[in-house]
Amino acid sequence: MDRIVALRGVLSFFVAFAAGVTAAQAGAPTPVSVSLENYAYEPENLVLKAGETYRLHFINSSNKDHDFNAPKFFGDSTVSPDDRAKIVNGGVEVKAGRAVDVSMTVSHPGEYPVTCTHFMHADMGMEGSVTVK
Amino acid sequence: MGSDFGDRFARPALVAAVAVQAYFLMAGQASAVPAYAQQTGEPCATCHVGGFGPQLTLAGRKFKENGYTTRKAGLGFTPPISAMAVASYVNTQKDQAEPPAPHYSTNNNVTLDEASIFIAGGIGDHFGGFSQFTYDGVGRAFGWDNLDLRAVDHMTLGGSDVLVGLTVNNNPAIEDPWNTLPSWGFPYTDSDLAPGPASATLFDGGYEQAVLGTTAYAVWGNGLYTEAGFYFTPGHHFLSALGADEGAGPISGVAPYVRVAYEKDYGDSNWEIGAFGFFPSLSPDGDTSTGQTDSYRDIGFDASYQLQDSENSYYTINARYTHEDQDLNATHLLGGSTNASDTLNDFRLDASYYWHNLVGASVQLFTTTGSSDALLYGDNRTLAPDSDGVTFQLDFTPWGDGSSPFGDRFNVRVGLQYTMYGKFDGASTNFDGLGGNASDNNTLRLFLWTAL
Repeated sequence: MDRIVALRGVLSFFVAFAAGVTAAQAGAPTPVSVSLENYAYEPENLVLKAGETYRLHFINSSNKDHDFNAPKFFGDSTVSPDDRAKIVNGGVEVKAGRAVDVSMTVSHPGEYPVTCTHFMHADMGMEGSVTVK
Repeated sequence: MGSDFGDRFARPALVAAVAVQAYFLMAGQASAVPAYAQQTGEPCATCHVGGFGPQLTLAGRKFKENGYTTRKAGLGFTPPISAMAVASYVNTQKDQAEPPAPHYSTNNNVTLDEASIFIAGGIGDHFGGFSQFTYDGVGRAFGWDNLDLRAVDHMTLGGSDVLVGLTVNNNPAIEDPWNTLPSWGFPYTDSDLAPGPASATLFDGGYEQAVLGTTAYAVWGNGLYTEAGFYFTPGHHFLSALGADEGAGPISGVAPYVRVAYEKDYGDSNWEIGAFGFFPSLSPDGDTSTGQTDSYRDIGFDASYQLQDSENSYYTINARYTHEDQDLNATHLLGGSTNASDTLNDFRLDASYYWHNLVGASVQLFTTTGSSDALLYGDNRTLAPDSDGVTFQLDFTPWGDGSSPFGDRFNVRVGLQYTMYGKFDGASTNFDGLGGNASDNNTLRLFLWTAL
């Protein structure tokens, strides 16, 4: 009886492992962190691969609100239904000291401009780009 | 020549100015009474250190460089009209020899310093500015005050974004984005009832509202700021109609103005270093009988530093040094100076701390030195123009953080200034040969400054 239980346990482990590998191969989001600072993005130029699914982690550790505004980039991508509400007017708002995660699949190669639409932040240098290869 | 030149250009300039202001006014009647805060949707503290007054944050400087055109997304055209008033109580350590102005006493005066109306705002993406009209409570007269009208655009040069602008203004350096130059320098408010040294460079207020000028500027992507332009004296009738005079004297031809600065921004802090030059030739008191003019060369350097900490408190430092060469060809022939050439050197250094945009503490050191001249400084016992001292200021802006119960537009500051003189008009003691000491002019001023 003990052998049967042990065998079931080993089988369950392998089944679970195989399922995980399959899920990852099928497009589990790749985590990518984007930092919003006063007044810059890090990285300034985000490079992604077309056809890949990412979980973009926007983190604002500054004392001011910022956003990651890229209407064409978000428009050309397929955003997870759970995260669509986080995209407002083509951008993701990230309050001071907060973080926002957005899962999406990028589809079209190209270079997309990114800007912070908060008052004068772009003029203070808060501009960047996303390159989809 | 200055007058002819001025009259020729003053009429179209006046027509243009009236047209622009009429446009602002007409639009204003169509939309409520917005100000820059309403136009941008931002509280005062976004653009102003301490939440009040002319000292600009980095965002404020960028807004100014962009021609005051930025507006909150979704807002239509919202032409603003604003108002401002300053009142003071002024006390000097010793009674002044004469009342500082008619209707006032020799000491302990209470006054309305000024009451102003601003017509200000942006039109579309390329045009903006402000025009200030002021009732001078001490002089008891109306007149035009600061004027700064702009046209701006962005272009790409060498792969970098460059902001280019054109200004029309009436006060050299009023268009400057930093608070180091005289037009917007510390102290940001003062009273005409307070005694002050007789000598100052022409760049330091010599042509406030006494000229019209145009300058072109460029803000380069790497932090470089460049500007060049010229100023001229409008016709006498033009200035009289606006309640102004010819300042230090009508400019002969045009006076070139140049400015270069470099700014480095680190997010929460930034610094700037720059240089400037202003080169007027003028007829002293409008007297052209000698056929000569006085030529001035004001050249200087400035620097500033700002730090905003994590609690939105500000630390600022501003510094300016100006050297003025005076070729007094006309004044010398008219018997107004012993020397054909004189010099002035002026240095200012101020630092301030603003806690949560509510409470501010500032201090400024100032010193003016120059060559002695028995006629030019004949009222000074030492025949020298030297003055120095220190000004302290404490102020409280209860709604500097944008919490005014009377709406976003209403703001007020109450402050206490104290100016101590080490030297005044050439000496520490008996500066006037009549027993007056520099410290007699030490001035305590309590002010109330409101804006809406």
